[in-house]
Amino acid sequence: MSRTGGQSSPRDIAAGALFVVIGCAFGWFAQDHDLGTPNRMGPAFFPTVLAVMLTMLGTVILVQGLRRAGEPIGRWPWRAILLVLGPGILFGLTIRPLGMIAAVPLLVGLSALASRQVTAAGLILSALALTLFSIAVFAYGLGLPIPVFGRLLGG
Amino acid sequence: MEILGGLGLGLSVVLTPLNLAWCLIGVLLGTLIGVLPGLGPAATIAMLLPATFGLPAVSSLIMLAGIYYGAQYGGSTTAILINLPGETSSVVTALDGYQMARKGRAGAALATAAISSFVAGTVATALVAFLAPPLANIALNFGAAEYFALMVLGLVASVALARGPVLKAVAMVVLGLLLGTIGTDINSGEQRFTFDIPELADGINFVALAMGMFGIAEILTNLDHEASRKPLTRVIGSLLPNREECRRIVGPILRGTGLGSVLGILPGGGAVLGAFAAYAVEKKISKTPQAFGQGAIEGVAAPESANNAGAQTSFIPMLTLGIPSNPVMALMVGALTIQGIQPGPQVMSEQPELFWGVIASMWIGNLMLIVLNLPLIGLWVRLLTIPYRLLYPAILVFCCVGVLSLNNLTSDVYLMILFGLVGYVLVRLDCEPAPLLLGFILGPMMEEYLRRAMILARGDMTTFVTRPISLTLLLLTLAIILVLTLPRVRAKREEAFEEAT
Repeated sequence: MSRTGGQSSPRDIAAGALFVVIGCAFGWFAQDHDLGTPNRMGPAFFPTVLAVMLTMLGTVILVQGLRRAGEPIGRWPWRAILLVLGPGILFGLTIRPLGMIAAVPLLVGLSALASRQVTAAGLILSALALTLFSIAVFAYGLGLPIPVFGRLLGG
Repeated sequence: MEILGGLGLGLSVVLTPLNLAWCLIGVLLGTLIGVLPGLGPAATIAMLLPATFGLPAVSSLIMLAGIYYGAQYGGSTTAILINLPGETSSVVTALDGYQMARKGRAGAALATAAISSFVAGTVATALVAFLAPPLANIALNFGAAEYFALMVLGLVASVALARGPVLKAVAMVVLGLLLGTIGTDINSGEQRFTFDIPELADGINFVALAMGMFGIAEILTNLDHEASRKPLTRVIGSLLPNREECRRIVGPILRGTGLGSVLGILPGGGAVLGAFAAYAVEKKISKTPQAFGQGAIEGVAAPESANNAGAQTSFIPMLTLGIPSNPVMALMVGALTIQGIQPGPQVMSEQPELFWGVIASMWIGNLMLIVLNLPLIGLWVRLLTIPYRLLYPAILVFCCVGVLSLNNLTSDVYLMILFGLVGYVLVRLDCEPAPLLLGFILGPMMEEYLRRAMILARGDMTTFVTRPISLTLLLLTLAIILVLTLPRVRAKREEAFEEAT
């Protein structure tokens, strides 16, 4: 592995900063509740202690990252991220109104594009096969309460 | 006698057609996903959790356990045949197994792996049966302070044995504990960190978190390394090791089983650690260490027995204390909770069929694996030709449908996708997701025991150090922290993980 990034470690800095932000957020919102006493701990006690710990740990990771060299974070694979997570959200949006008959092929068809080695035949065949499989197994086989035809399709 | 009676009860539970069928499905599924690179037992079990909802508790646990140890078998097959470990625990097996395959001894390597796994599985089953009851009896006397101390020890040890930087692993544990506090506080009834979103009132759905972190995030990681496949070894050769080889594998199997069993019980342990350690030990004590990496049969026997033994003994803390030692066990705790069973020492006395049924099923499952797997090797090899681009959309469908079916809430789908993104970003920043999941599972229990211990002690913090068992556990924790911070140990630990990857 090549050690670039000069005198700092971008991965440590980013991770440390992330932990500090999350720790501060939990610490801030925990103060909406009662801290209580050691004898009768309130709902804020445990989260506050943890939030302080996380913030301190994040600070140490961040400072260490500033002082020693490490690997760069690297390029983010936006294509894969968008085409895996996007179809997942679309599935959540379409499953009620359209049902599995449309939501599953949409999910499979769009997410298949995330791979750089996608082929048209593979995409269509797997969308077809997975849709039939899901309807047969999940709806009829296991009897899960997931609609095959959604509201808009008269289900 | 209690143990024999227990095992008898367990066998009578397993040897019903229904449970045998679930055991078979579990080990077959386990082998399948063990063979398929890019799909691990944690992700599979997370995907199947919703499906286990309708099963009896025993059947669901028997099947899920089968997936875990079955995956150890399957992982070794691909490691040997194409130098592509299907599981992390088979990384070491690939070193010598693939070299044996290249020399035309693939059959012997596969058979050695299967025999080693079976012997280790048998010994480990016996160990679980003998060690679990006394441990559960001790744990029955635990008070809130002891439980809290035990969980601290478990979390710290899981960090010590996790891969990657220590500080980040600790931060991930704390983050997991914090995520566990989201939802309604059981003592006051107040809603913490829910921002008036009704779907969060019961807390973050564990299955959505696990599927996101292990299923979805892994898809993204795998798409990063979408590489061409390595050539397949077609010549399997004779399946049986010759007499000389049989003699050479006895020692490594026994040592690997012992080492794997011990490391499997430790928090943070499981299959992976034992395999690495067993290989290192064999190489160290061998008269011909230079043969390792060139196709030494000892280098297949030792890690294969260790990973199977570890996979099974890691059930001990989960079954007796209710404390998961690795992500797969955390998912088992989740499976039990879905069934309305609180894991802990009382499971053995209140649900003996469940407790002994799972233990007995491990041995039956191992038997099924050795009988089924050697003849089925050809089929598993053919499955390897399924390209990842066809596999991951299927994983995505199973995750989406699975998480939706659990509570019939589309918000769980969005939550899973969110944790997929979070999990992927964290992995890119060298933060392993396993400690986070352990923290998330243990968080609510830890808070509850902490509060209860403080009420019992009237707010006196010294209660944790004045009770002998609690003090011992905390001293152990302190020892681990001290050892971890020693520069020499730290360097060694990093070296050990570096060498293996």
